[in-house]
Amino acid sequence: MITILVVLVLIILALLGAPLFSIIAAGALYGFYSADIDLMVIGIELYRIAETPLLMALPLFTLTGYILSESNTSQRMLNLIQSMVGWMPGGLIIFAFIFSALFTAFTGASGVTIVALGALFYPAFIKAGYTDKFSLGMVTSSGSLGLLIAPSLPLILYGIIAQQMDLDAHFSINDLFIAGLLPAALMIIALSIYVIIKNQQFKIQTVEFDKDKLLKAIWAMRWELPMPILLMVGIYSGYVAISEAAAVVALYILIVETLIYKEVSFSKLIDVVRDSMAMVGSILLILAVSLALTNVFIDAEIPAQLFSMVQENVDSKISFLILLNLFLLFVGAILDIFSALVIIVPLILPVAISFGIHPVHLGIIFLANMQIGYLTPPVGINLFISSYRFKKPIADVYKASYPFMLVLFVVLIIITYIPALSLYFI
Amino acid sequence: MPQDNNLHNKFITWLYRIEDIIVTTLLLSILLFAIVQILLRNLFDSGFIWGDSLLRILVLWLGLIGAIMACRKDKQISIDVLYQFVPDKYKLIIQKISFLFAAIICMTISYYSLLFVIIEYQDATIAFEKIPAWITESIIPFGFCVMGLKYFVKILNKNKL
Repeated sequence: MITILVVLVLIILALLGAPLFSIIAAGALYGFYSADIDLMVIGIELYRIAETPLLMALPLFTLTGYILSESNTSQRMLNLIQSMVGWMPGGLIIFAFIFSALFTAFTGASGVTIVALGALFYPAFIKAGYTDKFSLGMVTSSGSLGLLIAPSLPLILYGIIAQQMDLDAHFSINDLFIAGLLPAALMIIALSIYVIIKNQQFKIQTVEFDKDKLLKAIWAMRWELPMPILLMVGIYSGYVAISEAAAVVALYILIVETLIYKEVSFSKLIDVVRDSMAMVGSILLILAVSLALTNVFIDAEIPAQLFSMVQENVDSKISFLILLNLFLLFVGAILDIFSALVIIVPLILPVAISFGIHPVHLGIIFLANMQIGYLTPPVGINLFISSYRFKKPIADVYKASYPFMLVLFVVLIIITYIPALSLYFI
Repeated sequence: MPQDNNLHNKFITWLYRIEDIIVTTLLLSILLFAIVQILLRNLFDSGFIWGDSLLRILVLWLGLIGAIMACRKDKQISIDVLYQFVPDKYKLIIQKISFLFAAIICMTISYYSLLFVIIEYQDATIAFEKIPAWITESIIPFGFCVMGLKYFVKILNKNKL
């Protein structure tokens, strides 16, 4: 009875905007208290963060992403795309999707893609002959396209959380990276097909192919282009550990953008470090307290209770997956991706495994759902960022992006019900 | 008291600068030390055995200092679905309640983790090599104490949205 009351008060406080880490921490403290465990244990629980090997990748990739979005990398990317495929109707769009996905994968999932890349793509789309609304939809929906591609932070974070849980089913972080590739490609292909079908409605302007321009654009990116290629090969071949790759890439980008391109000054760099580490700090903080809460859950056998509750009402894997999709779409619409990961994954992962779902597949389903959550009101972060950046009412942004969201939804269904898409190569 | 206010602002700016310096130093140390480890391992087939432990502890420190910085501009992750629908005249009081709640939780964590650190000190637990664990753990009570103080100051200072 008291527990229900406490949970209710915490939920209300959370919805009213109390910092999420304090809510989760309060839940953990209450859990320890009611299980007669000395509250000193909170120190031990929080210190577990320092026993998580992958974690170093988080600050380093975040730093890389923030530096990239502060420099003129996005302008160079647009130049490259325009000179490479500007002659091809629809080429601009397809490559914009691909580059946005890569940019998101490298810069975390904080909506930076819309601000840094989308702001350049948007006028370029309109200039190429697409309507304002269609361009806005494309830019908004491509803002979270790379979630499933390494080294995206949510993907790494899912790996960290799942590995902390001591499950029977083991997988490596590389399995997760490989699993995301086909689903991510499918999303890009589906969106591209949709745009190509729609292309006939617009008078698309193409530019003539100019070899010199292309060479010039490639030359301008000579320092940045090798990086994603090397990193992808390194990570996906399993030759480089993710945290090592993060260090090498961070150092490389730091040198390239500050010393070679000279686009990030020293004083700017301090700002970049401050902003990026504040974000890392807030993520690590909720991760640390939720590790404690997860232990409370496990001690109280909540995942097991949840499982038997679900099992009473759900009899097959398929119906569980349908329920899971609905639930996650709802979660994605009210929680941001990092909170959703730390709160929801520890609860549903054991249940999903009991239904015979591979933890890697669950990770892909989870993130694909969250990606759609970025585009759904009331807290779809892409909607807000687009609305803020392009000075359009939220409702307009929503109307512009929902056809793209529907396309992504179809892909989500395919990803969910064809596990082989995620699991074939692992 | 404009003079007082000035002094207060100077103090805050000074504190912020210290945070900036600490966080930058920590991040660069992590970056460079990780690179050194990679070079040692691949070129000379050696490396510091305690290197990975040190790096992980530095990440914990970086995370908590970063979390302190995130309090600066209310950058802590929150949900606030309902908050948007609260009438403007109640928003300030609701924010103050949120901050008070956060402050109390931070102080509670700080207190109990301090007790834990004291026990580790008495038991002379070792983190790695000869570094005692209570030193590496001390960031937890310290970090949460600073965050709690920050939230208390926010409650006192914030008089408009």
